[in-house]
Amino acid sequence: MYPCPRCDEVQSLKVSPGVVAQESCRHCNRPFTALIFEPPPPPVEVRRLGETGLEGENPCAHHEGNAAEAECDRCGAYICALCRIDCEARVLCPACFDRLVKAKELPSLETRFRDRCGMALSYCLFGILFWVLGIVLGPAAVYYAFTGLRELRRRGETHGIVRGYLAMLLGGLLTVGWFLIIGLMLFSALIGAMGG
Amino acid sequence: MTATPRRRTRLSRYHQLAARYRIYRVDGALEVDELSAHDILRRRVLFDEVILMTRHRRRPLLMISLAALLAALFLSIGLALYYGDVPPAWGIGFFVPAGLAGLYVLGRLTVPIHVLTLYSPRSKARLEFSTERGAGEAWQELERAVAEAQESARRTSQVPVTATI
Repeated sequence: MYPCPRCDEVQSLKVSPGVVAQESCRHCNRPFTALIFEPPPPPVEVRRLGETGLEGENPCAHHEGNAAEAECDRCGAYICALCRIDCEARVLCPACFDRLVKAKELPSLETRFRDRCGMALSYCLFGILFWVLGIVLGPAAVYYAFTGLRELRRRGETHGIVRGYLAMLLGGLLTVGWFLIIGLMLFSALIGAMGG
Repeated sequence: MTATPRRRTRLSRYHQLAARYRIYRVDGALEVDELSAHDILRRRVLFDEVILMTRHRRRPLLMISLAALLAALFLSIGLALYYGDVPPAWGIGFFVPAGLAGLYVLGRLTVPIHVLTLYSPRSKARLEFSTERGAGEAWQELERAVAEAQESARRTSQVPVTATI
């Protein structure tokens, strides 16, 4: 059963796997081109201790009756096929995997982020429109741009770097501009007072 | 800690009412970034889990209707001001946005959006293209990538497990 890409109603399709063909949704009656794939099921072959008859087999640290097939790259524990987690070119046991996810040391598994470079650009825009708040928005924009760029580098991503540097530049100009304007106003007020 | 830069190619981006979407191709998967306000929610569609790929054309009827209404509204106001007791330049100022909205309506009616959708058991990735050529190239590229990933996974699953420690 597959969903229609237009109305999301699930239905069976007449097209055969591996063949590109025209289909028509039975609910919305609109056509679409479909290609069905048949992905292989994930292989999990769990060997029991003593199955292969090999001497010196080690048991899994979490499942005593299962034969270990690898060691955790982080803690060194023996793990069976059930426990084994392959992630970012490392073999991990479930406990180490959980710890690394919580510590955000597996960047490819993070799914929620703050768009700090976008926030910094928004602060710059508000600061330009409401220059009186420039003393707050300017440094805030620089801070968020800096932390945003650091996050991008940590995740190994390049999209957004230009926005980050642009926000940092505009935030800096906003801050300096605010001080210049206030300084000029104070200076002209002082000159006026001295002249009076 | 700095990660090694991942190869990440942007394939498509589009907007909906409450969110913006950017779709990237990475090794072995498509990444869908949903941006709402300043939060990014990332989902992946792994190539070796794809079960269906579809392609269709659409015209954004809601946006076309809104643009047509705006064009009519600006044109009405412009005509009222042009033939009214105010300087004609005021009316001309409203003809410009009316013309732009009208151009958008004509453009979207004549040139549809091409949509590619990849489905896996847990998620889906939707890509939008303005041109048929772009959609066709993306279709071929993704079809090849999915077939290669699933063939590689099939070969790996056939290798017997013999490692012992």
